[in-house]
Amino acid sequence: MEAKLRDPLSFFSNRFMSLAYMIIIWWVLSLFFSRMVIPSPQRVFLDVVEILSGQAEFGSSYTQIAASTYRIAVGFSASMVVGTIMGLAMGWKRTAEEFFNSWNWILLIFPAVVWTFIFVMWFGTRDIATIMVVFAIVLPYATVNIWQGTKAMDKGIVDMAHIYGANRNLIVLDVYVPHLVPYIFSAARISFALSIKIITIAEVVGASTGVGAMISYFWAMHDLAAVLAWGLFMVFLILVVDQIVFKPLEKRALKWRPKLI
Amino acid sequence: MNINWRKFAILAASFFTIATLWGLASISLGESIFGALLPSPTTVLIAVFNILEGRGVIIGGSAMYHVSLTLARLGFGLALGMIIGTVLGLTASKGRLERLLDWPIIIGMSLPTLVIVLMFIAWFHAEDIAAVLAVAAATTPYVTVNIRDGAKSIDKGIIEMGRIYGANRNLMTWDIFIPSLMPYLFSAARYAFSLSWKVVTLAEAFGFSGGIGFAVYYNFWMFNQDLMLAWIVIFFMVAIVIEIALSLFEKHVMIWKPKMAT
Amino acid sequence: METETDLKTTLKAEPPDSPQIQSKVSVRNLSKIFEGPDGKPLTVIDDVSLELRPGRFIGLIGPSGCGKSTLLNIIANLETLSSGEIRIDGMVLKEHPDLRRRLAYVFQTPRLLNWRKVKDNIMFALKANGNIPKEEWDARVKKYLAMVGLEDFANSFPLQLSGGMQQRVGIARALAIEPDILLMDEPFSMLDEMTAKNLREDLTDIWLKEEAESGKRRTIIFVTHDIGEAVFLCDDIFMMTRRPGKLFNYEEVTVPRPRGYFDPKVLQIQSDLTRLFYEKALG
Repeated sequence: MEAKLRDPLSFFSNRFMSLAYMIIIWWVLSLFFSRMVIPSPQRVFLDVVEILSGQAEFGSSYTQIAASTYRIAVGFSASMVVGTIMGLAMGWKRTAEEFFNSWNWILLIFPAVVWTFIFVMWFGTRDIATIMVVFAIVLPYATVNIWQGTKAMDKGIVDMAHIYGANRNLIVLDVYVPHLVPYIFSAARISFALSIKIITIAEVVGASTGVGAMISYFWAMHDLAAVLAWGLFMVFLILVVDQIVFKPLEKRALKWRPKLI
Repeated sequence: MNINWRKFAILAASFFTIATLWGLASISLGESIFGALLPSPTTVLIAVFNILEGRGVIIGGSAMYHVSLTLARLGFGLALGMIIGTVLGLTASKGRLERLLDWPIIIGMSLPTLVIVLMFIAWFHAEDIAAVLAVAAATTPYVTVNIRDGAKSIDKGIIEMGRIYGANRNLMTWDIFIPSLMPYLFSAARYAFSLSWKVVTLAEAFGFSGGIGFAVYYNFWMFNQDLMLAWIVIFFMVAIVIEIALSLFEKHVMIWKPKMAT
Repeated sequence: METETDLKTTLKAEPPDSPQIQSKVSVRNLSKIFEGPDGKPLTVIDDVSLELRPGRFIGLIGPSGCGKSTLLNIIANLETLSSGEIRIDGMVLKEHPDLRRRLAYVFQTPRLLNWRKVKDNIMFALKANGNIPKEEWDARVKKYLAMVGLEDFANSFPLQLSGGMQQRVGIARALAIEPDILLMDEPFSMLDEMTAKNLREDLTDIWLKEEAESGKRRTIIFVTHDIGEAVFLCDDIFMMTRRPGKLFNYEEVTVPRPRGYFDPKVLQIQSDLTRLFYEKALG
């Protein structure tokens, strides 16, 4: 506590003050513009609270969130599994790397909205369409992360294991997997945050329930405050999942690492 | 120019595989009331040529028109994002401002692109400026983080050397700082570039009149699957050309780096 | 052999055949205190005084962490001292920052601008110095690259050269500004022994050759932890203890050059100093 008093200026450049600054600037601007251009922070926060407490225009917001969550979960898991396999292959064999590199690049640049059109064209507005969109977008990110991680494996340690006569199982479990753990976490975090952002796009065209559908509805109603509210809710969701799920898991998995000073 | 035949062969094989899988998928998905559910690669290829030659054109103009419209919006937005991001990244790499930028960066990266695009459309309607600013807004946080981390990891030994030899600010900036930052600038640019494509297409699909995204969207609603896919192919063709140009440029600038045999 | 634990007395006057007087460096009661990782003060250099004779090859030996590199950095104006003073030619370094222009530094790692050609790396030092007329730049680049034997590599990029060659570019860069005082911080410690041996001999040759040409000898302050290297290269050797670094010995090496690595006189001095080193420096 004394540290804060010693340097009063540091209080004002504290990272939480930046949140306060943003809200203040937002509020000031909202006074000058109509609520269709810049809704006031109060309205948006009220809407967010509504979302969190389960209310919505029709039915419960929880149903919408659940619908999106289901699609995200499936798409995300599928892309992590396939991405890990592809990433391992690419990191292992040069040929695989060169072969899949172009696929990866294409997938990385493919706009979500275009995928949505394609999959809706095939599957209609069933869940599988939006799930495929998430899968297709997130897959290359997972792949690249695992690929880089596999490439970065210290060959010296693998050689050491061979010299000591470790069999394949032991090497995989005790050498490769622990090395890959941070990369898997990194891939998972990025992929998950991305999934949440992507589902909104996919659901605008591709579904009648879910967060994206809500955004589409409120946009059509010119209710910018509600649109922003759902947007902020997504930000909130990403942060919460990151802090509550990924960070602690990562900490436990990596507790052998010295703290970086 | 040395052409690595093996690499070329593998590249060709991977594209051929895509085309084959596509072809198989289109056959197996068969016909529906609206025509083939998935037009075969050949159908789409024909459609591409049609579009390029000006037939099957949509409101607005020729293929060139739409492509250049998209590229213009992308270009300005990307440039803006790179400039602002670099400035912010450099300020964030030292001093107090770093912590102040923490939250805005996190929010900027977590806010769904859709919401960003809708915000700018709400403010500027479906004008070009909305697309440009949306691209800028979406790319800035990523560029900032990239440049910030890059600036922090510049080789301090070289900076010391410059100081000991008495280099003035001009010399330090142009001979030391900027070249050290180059790899990070390129990496940020590459990421921002692929992000910009996505943002522009998203914006255009939401009611802009013109551009590649609009063309795709229009054909989607008109059930012109072959034309829709054709425009997507055109999108990739343009993207590939630009990507190649960018990597050639990068190779030229970074000519001093030896090829690492990993 | 003089063993002086209290080195406050100035050394004897310049030997009669010393060349024209060059910069005289004088360090008085220098101390440097850092803030340690736990917040407690860490004395790295403890009340060190040196009178360095001009035009000599001076060695500074000590174990790792004894502050010898810090001392060099303070002379180069890269770090501030906590107490004491440094004078060059009688002028206090702190008050005359442009004295810095008379110094050049060769680092442990080459610290070259990898994105510029070799010749542009030399050019960088010439530009940075500010005191060197533009007309001379090209000539100097040519001359000093030739002096280190790299005239054919002027247009190469540093990463195309071996470690030893890169280090030679670093030396050429330092020489190109024609400094009165050349500071060298373990410049050969990162190289393999063969390359290092060659570079030591080349360095001695260049140093002597410059004297033959210009009639003046540069003062070299050479930091190392390798006693053999110091005995091979230096005229005056100062030895420091481990942290907090204190000066505990001075030795003058009078063996005439060219010296051989296996010259019995050289080996004798080396073994004496090594013994002393283990007794005093690492105690």
